[in-house]
Amino acid sequence: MDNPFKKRATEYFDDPAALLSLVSAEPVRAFFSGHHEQLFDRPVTIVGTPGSGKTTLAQLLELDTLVALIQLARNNDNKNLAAELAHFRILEDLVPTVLAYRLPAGSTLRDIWQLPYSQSTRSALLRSFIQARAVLGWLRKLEKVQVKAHMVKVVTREDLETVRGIIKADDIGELRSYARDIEERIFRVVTALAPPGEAELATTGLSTTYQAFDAIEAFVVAEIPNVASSEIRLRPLFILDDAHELHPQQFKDIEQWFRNREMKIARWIVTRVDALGPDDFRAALRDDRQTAGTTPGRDHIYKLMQRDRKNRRAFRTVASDITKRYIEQMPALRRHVNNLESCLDARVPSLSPSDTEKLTQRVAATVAKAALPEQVRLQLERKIPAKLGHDQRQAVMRILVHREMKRTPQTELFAAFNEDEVESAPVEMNYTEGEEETGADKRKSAKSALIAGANIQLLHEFQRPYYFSFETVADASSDNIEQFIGLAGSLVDVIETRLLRNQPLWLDAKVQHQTLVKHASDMVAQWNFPHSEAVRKIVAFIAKRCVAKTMEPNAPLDDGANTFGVPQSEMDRLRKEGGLLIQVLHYAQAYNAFSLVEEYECKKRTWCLFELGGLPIIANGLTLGRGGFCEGHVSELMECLN
Amino acid sequence: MPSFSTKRCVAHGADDVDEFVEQHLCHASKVLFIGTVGIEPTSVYFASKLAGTANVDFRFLIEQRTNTDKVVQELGDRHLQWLRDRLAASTCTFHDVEVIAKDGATVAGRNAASIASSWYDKAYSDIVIDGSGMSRGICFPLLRQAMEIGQTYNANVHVVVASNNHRTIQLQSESNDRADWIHGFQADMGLDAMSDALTLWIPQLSHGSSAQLDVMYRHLSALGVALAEVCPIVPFPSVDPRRGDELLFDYRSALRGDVGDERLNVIYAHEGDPMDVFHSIVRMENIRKEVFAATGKQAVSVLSPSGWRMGSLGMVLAAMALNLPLLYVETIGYTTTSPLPAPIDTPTADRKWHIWVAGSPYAV
Repeated sequence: MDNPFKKRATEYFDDPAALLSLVSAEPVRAFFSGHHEQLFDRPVTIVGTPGSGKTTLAQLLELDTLVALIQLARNNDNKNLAAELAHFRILEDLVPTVLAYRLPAGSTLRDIWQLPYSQSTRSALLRSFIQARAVLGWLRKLEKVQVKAHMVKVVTREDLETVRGIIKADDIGELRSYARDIEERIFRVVTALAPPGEAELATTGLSTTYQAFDAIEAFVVAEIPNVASSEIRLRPLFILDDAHELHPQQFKDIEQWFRNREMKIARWIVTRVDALGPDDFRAALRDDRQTAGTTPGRDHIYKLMQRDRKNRRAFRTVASDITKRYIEQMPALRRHVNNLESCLDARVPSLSPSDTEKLTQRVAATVAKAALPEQVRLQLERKIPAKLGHDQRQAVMRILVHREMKRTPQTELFAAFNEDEVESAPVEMNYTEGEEETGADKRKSAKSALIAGANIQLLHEFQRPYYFSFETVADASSDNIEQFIGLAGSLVDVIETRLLRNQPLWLDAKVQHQTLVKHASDMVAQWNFPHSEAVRKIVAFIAKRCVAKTMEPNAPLDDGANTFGVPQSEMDRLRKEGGLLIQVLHYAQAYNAFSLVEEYECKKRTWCLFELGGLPIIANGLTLGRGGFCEGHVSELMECLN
Repeated sequence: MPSFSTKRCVAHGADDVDEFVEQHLCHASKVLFIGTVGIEPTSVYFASKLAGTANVDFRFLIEQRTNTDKVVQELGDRHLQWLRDRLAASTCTFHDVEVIAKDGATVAGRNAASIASSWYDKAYSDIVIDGSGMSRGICFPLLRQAMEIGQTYNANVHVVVASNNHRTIQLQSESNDRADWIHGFQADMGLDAMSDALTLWIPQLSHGSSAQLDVMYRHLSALGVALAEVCPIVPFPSVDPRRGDELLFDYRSALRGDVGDERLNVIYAHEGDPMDVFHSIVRMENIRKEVFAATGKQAVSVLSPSGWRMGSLGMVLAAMALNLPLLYVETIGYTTTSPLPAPIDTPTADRKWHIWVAGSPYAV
C-alpha cells in the first residue's frame, strides 16, 4: 500500500481488508459504549464533520467488511477490533449479527424534492426509493459474501402478511425483481428531463409507498461460506449516509418516518453537523453526554462523532492507535519506527542566546518602568516555578509585572504554584456546564494557562516553537480523524524524507512546529468548499482579534483567546432574518473552520461563541486551550463579507 | 428530425461559422435562439451576429448565484444592457435561473429546462443553443431538451460556441461541495444494477479545479461503483503548448494518489476542436464495448466536463451519441481581483464552432 497518510478518506478503499488494516478499535469502542442496544432498536442520527469517521464506521458494519474481519480475526492487528465488535454483539461467536447497507443520499434523493408534485407524493417517492434500494442493497451484500439466493429467507412481522405478499418476500428472486422494478420506475421519473404529470404518475401506482421497512424483521441465511455453516439470523441495518444532502424538509420527513416504533429494522441517519437546526444540535449534545437508558421514553438517539474538546485524552488514545496502524502499513518506515510519538521531541525549546538577551532587556525595561518595590519584584520572581527555562521565566515575569502595574492582585493565583507541576497537562477550561472543576484543578489549569500564554507571546515575538509533541497534534485535530491524519501525515513526510537521506528521524520542536504551521496554513489556504473565501475572511478576522487579545501585555485571559463571542440575541435575530452570513456560518461549521457554542452564560449575559478549529488555531498561533473569547457583535462578522 | 451520430456529425469551425449564421440562420423561416447573459463578451457574440434579423426570437437566461463579485455582476449588467440596446424588445426576453438552491443543492439544469419548456413552438424551423456563456449544467440539459423537442416539431437543432484565447478578467470560481449528474445525463448511474459496472472515469482537467476532481471522485467512490480506471483528458495541441503538461503537473499528486495511479492513461485532445474530443471518446468507448462484450461484464464511462469549453462541447456530443453519464460540480460563485475592463462595442471571438446536432442534414 502507498503511504496511507496520503489517503484522505476511507471511501477510497474498495477492498475491506485494506480498510480493516487502518481501522482502529478505539473509535468503535467510543461510539458503541453505553448505547449499543439502543443503537439498533430506535432511529439514530450520527452527526459529525467530514473526516470524523462517520462513513468509516458505516463501512465497518457492512457484511463484506465483517466477514473479512472474521477471516482476518487471528491477525494481531484485527484482534482488538473483532473483540470490540463481539463485545457489542455485532459479532457473536465470530458470526455477524447485522446486515448493514449504506446508501449515500446523493443527488438522486435530493432531486425528488425538485419534482413538480405535492409534498405527499414526493415523500412517497422518496420513501419507496429508499426502501427499494435498501432491499436490493441487503441482497447484494449477501451475494458479495457468496450467500446464494436460495439460502436466504426473509422474516416479516406476523401482523403484516399482506405487505409480505405485496413486496413478494416469499421468494428472494421475486423480492429482488419487484424492488428493482420500483427502483427503476422511480429513477426514470426523477432523472427525466421533463417528469410526467402528477396525475399520470398516480396511474402507475408510484405515488403509494413500497413498505418493505414496515414488514421486514430479519434475514435468515442457511450459511455464510467460510464463516458460518449453520443457519444465522441477521438484523437489517439501513444507513442513510450524507443525509445533509437532502432538502431540509426531506431530512425532517425521514427522521419522522424512522421514529415509527413498529419498524423492526435498525436505521441510522449519518449527517454533517450543519444539517441539524440549533435545537436538534443541542439535543445531540445532550444525548452525547447522557448515559443510555436515562430517558427510557426517548424515541430517537443523537450520536456526536466529535465530542467536546475537553475529552481530549480519549482522542489521544485513538490518535496513537491510528498512527501505529498506519505506520504498520509503511514497510520502509516501520523497520525504524513503531509509533509517531517516539520520533517527536516533547522537550520544551529555548530561545537562542541573542533572542534571550533581547527578551531579558525588554523585561528589564518593563520592570524598570513599573518601578515596583524590590520586595514585590522578588516576591513575584519567587512565585515563578524554578523548573521553567530562563526565557519562559522572563515572559511570565513580564506578564506579572504588567498585571501588577494594572494593580491586579495576583498573589492568590501564584500562591498555588508548585514546582512539581510545571508544564503539566494542557489547559482544560470548560465552556459547558455540568462539570465543575475542583479548586485545586482550577489553580493548576490557571497556572498552566498562564505559562501557555507566556509561551504564545514568545511564539509571536521570537518565533519560539509552540506546537510540538504528539499530544499537541492530537489536541489540534478537533477530534477529527481525517484532520489528525493530515497533521500527523505532514510530520511522517518529514520523517520519511530523513529516512531516505539517512538522517536522524528524531524531529525537534522547531521542525515539528514549522511543519505543522505550514500544513495548517496550506490547508486553510486550500479550503475550497462553498463560501470558503468568506469563511477565510471571518476566520482571519477572529484570529486577528484573538492574537491581539493574546498579546496584551498583562495576558488577561492567561493563554489568550481562540474564540469570538457575540450576544446570543444577535445570533437569534440573524437566524430569523437569514442571509448570506447564515450560509457562510453553515459551511464554516460543516468544515471545522469553527464551531458554535450557543447559549453560553458568562458575565451575566448569554453568548454565542465562534470557537476556531484546530487548523486555524495553529495557522494563526493561538492557544489550543478553551476558555478565552473576545467579545464582539454579529455586525463585525457581516462587515468581513463586504 | 434525426440527429447526429458517432459516424456523422455536421460541424463548422472558425469563420465558416459566421458564414453559416449569415447564410442559413439569418434566412431560416423562424429561429429560437437560447443564450445566456454571461461574463465574457463572447457570450453575446452570436446574438450580435443575429441582431437585426426579424426571424429570430431571443431568450436569455441570467444565471443567479449566491456568491457573485461586484465586478462580475457589473460585467453581467453591462452585457444585459448591450443586448437590450441592440435587440428588439418584442423579440427578446430575459429570465433568471437559480443555479444553487438555498440548501446547497444544484438545481440549475432542472430549473433551466423547466423555464425553457414554455418557449418551444412548432413554428420554429431552427433552435439554436448558444453555449458561449452558459454553465455546462444549464447548456447541456437545454441541448438535450431542444433535441427531444426538435424531433417532435421537426426542427433543426444547433449548438454554437464562441470563445477567446484569453479572458477579459481573471476569475476565481468557488465550487459546490457535492457532485451532481448533469440533468438529463445520468444514464443508469445510481441504479443498483450499476453497482458492479466497471467504470472508466474521464475527467477534463482544468486549472484550479483539483477540489472539484476530489469531490467527484468521492461521489463515484461513495456510489460503490467499481472504479476501474481514471483517464483524464488534457488539451493538446493548445495555444499554450505547455498547458497540457502543466495540468498534469498540477494534478500529479491527485492522479498518482487517491484518484489514480496510471501515468499513461491520458487522452490528449485539441484545445480548440470539440470534434477531436468527441471522436477520441467514441473510439475509446467502442474499444471498451468490444473488450467487455467478450467478458460479459457491464462497463460504463463517466465523463466530467470542466474548464475549456470546446472540450466540454465534445464531451456532451459523446454523451448524447453514446448515452454516457456526465458528472460535474457546479460553481456557486465567481470572484475576481481584476479591474472592470473597458466596454466592448462589437464582440469578437478567437474560436467559433457550430454543431448541427439534429435536422435536415441527417434526414437523408
